[in-house]
Amino acid sequence: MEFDDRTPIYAQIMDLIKRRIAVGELKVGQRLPSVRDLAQQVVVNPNTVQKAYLELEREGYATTQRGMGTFVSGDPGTADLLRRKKAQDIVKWYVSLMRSLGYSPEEMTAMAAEAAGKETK
Amino acid sequence: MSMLVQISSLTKRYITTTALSDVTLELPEGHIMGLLGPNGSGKTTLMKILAGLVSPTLGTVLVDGMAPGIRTKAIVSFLPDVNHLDRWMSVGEAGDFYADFYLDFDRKRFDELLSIMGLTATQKIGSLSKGMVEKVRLSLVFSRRARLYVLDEPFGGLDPLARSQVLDALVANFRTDCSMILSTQMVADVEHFFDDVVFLDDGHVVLAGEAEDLRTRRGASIEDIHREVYGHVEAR
Amino acid sequence: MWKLVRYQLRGRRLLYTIGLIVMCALTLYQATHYIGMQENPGQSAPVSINVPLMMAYFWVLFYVVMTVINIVTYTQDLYGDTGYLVFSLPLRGAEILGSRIVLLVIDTLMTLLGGMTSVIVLACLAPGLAPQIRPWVGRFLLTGDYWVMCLGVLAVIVSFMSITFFGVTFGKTLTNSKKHLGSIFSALVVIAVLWSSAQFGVMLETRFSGIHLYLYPWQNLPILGEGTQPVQFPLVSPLMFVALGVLAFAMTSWLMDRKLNL
Repeated sequence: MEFDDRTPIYAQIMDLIKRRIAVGELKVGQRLPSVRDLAQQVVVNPNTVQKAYLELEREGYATTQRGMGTFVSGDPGTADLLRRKKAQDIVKWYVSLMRSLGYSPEEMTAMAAEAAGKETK
Repeated sequence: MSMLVQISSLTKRYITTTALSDVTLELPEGHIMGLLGPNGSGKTTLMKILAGLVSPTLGTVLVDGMAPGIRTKAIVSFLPDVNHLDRWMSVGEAGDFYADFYLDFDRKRFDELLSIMGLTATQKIGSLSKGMVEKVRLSLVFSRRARLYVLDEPFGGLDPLARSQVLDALVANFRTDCSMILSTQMVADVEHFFDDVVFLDDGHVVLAGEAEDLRTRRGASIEDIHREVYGHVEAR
Repeated sequence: MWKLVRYQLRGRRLLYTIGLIVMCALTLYQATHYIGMQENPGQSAPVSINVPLMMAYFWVLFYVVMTVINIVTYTQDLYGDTGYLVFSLPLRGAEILGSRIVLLVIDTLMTLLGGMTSVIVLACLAPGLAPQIRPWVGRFLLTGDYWVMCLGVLAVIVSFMSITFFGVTFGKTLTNSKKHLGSIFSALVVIAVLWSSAQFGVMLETRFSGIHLYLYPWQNLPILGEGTQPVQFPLVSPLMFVALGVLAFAMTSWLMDRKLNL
């Protein structure tokens, strides 16, 4: 996995896991890879993965059961919620960039709809 | 969290030069510390002091609560920045040597690492290329179940493929009851491994902190910070 | 310590093999001088004595080479890259230094025994000389005084090397120089210590000029013609030298434990 080294690595690992939950790759109740395995997979310091898991726990997206591992937690709506949040982030980003180019909200919607239409064709 | 390494007000003077002045730092158990700085900034001296090969002039150095000596040598696995193996030794004999003197040496792991690195026990050190010798040395150092690993430029002589092999082995073998301190010029390649970073310049600590913390505070990668801190050095 | 000796011996197996083969070859070559010579004492005696004597000189040369190698290896341990291997080990300085001394003793014994063997073999083969020597060989080797002399020489040599090692180590504690600054300093220390102990030795000898050691190493070897005469050895200065050697050993070990800058 490629990281953007300018932001904390643990935040990017959290992001990666949240994204997987959002798209349904990881379901509530499912076990997350062990700290060591994930560290090896993405080639980072195990402590960083540990920190990402702790933060996820703090935010309520994961629970650790002693000796069992870390599991995705939350209610059935969690995935949708995360997906929505992610989408909102992307929209916010899109809007701010378009605004900096001087587009009005109407133009933005129209262009987004046009682009989406082209994509599906 | 217990501190595996505690260094306070460490100064190392030679007759003509001062290699380290008033260095204070701590390394918690389970952490990997990156020691960064240009050549001649005191990284090697600091690491040799931790390995018990250089005596401090002033200040205190504690490794697992003990001043460097025989007892710390038994728990510190040191990789010098030059080939420290005798040329007459075969790879297997180098393993025998480590096994004979270090109680924490795990022969099975050594053999595993050798096969991962594509080496055989009968090869003579003197006949190996620089990169291969580097792999042998790293295999020896990582085969010890040490409390503290002190690695001076561990990726120096390695090609990118070997570097990633070594990094994989490093992550796979890292335990929470040990710590590691390593120096490198290739900051970009290994910065994901650092819990803490210390920037040395001319024997002084110019910047130190947790890697993630520095990224957050400065909005920059460790490599960027490295370039920023030593920009003036390269311009010289 | 013994483990370290074993490894150092292993590292030297090639050197020892080559050295001993060369010495064997030299002995054989020296023996060829006898070919065609008559068992006529009058005619062959000078040659007969010269051949084993020459061989003895070769062994002295061999020992000088080994000593130089010993000093060089020790210096390399402190100034070279392989020192990191030895000094990273959880061993006391005394053990590391001790292994070097043991190696030196092994070299010396090897030279003494090897030298004796080849010189005796040549002497026993020498036309003219052989009949006179042969009956005495066993007896002269059983002479206590002969071995006392050998041991004395060994003790002085070991002390000399111990002082040399001290000089090399002391130089290394002052600098971190991989280059020659430290080694020049080391050499100066060695020369200074040896010179002043020689001066001191001379002084002691004049002061205690009456005290000597009289040995009869050749008493069972009348062929040398001095069978009944004792050989006079100084006693005070060698004792002082050995004491200095012991002191140097202790100080070097301490420096290795506390003050080393590799």
